[in-house]
Amino acid sequence: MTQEQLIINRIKEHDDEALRQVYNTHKQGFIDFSVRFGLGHDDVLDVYQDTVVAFCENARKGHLDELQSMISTYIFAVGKYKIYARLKKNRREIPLQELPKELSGHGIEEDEQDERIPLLRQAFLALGDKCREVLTLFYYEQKKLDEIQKLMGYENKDVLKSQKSRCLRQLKESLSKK
Amino acid sequence: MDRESLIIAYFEGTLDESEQLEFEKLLSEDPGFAEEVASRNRLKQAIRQEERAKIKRKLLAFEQEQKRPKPTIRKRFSIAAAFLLMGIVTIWWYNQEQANNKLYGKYYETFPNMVQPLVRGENGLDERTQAFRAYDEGSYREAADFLSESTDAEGLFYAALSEMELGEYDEAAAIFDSLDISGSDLEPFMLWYKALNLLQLDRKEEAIRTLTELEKDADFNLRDKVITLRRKLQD
Repeated sequence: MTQEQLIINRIKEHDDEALRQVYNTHKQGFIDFSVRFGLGHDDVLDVYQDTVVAFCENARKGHLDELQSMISTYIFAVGKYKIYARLKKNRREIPLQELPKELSGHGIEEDEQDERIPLLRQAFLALGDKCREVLTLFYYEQKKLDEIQKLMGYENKDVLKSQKSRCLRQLKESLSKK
Repeated sequence: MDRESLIIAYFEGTLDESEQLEFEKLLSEDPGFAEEVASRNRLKQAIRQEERAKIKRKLLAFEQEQKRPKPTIRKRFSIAAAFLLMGIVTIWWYNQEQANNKLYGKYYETFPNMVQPLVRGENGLDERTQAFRAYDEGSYREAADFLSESTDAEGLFYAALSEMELGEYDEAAAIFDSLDISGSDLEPFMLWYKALNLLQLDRKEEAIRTLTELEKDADFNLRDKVITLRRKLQD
């Protein structure tokens, strides 16, 4: 296994030391690279952090299991599109850039704004640990129920399914009270 | 396939062709089903926002760690002072009858360099760094000569400490009188050493006044012990 894959695996296991290593290793290079786009220092740092978040997210979703390039190459590729998005947000004239196919679905697009989401987020945070874990593995890390069953040690898929339904019901009940 | 299984397979991305058709049919014809799928998509977004915020908080913490390479002077010294004063005060309880200059000997301990921590092997040091290195190495004459030219309270404080180390208590007293103690992170410790120096010079009343001033600093973690010392001096 390559060094890059070892790091990716550690990120998947929520190893903060690996995250710190990735963050610190590529930071200065990314800042130097971003200067040419004319973003201010705070914006560059913010974009860099969002890029590392995207890297971490895609590692956890298993999208980087087959990564052929270096982590740095991936971070710069994603970061470049995040810079364009930031320049657009700051209403700067920029050359039109298409997102390359291999990066679509990598969470580079911004979050949608829906007023119900902040309430949902609160209700989600108020759930018990088990519920949050099941729902995060399913909806965020996009793991299949079979994988979650093994990961969390459920006897069988039906037990997990009913656990998941209970969590969703709790969420709905707590939302209806708000 | 029941509705719940269809929704699960949709999120897992495992719908086969016929299931996909069934799913789309329900989505367009059954508002209840459509709303259920929409609400799960919102949940997905809410969890994503939460997870992203969690990762970002970690990155911000890494950033803060780099900006704050060491604890504040005051905090670090509070810890050092806790050990220093606890030792001193313990000894002091057994020596209540000691004369002032003997008390000084029991109380006084070299104050650590808290201003300019040195990186060993550094080349091209500036004068101030050299002076603090001299202080660290016990070359107090050199440190005093350099630091007495300082324009800031902390540099002057270490000049006074160097003079105390050299037994030049009058020199030290003159420096303490000239420096503006208020507002420095080291303020309580400046007062503490100023009081000790006055004690050594047998200027007991002034030492008591300085300790009284130090007592006003309610945040000083060993304030109670300073009060006890002041009271003992007044006996």
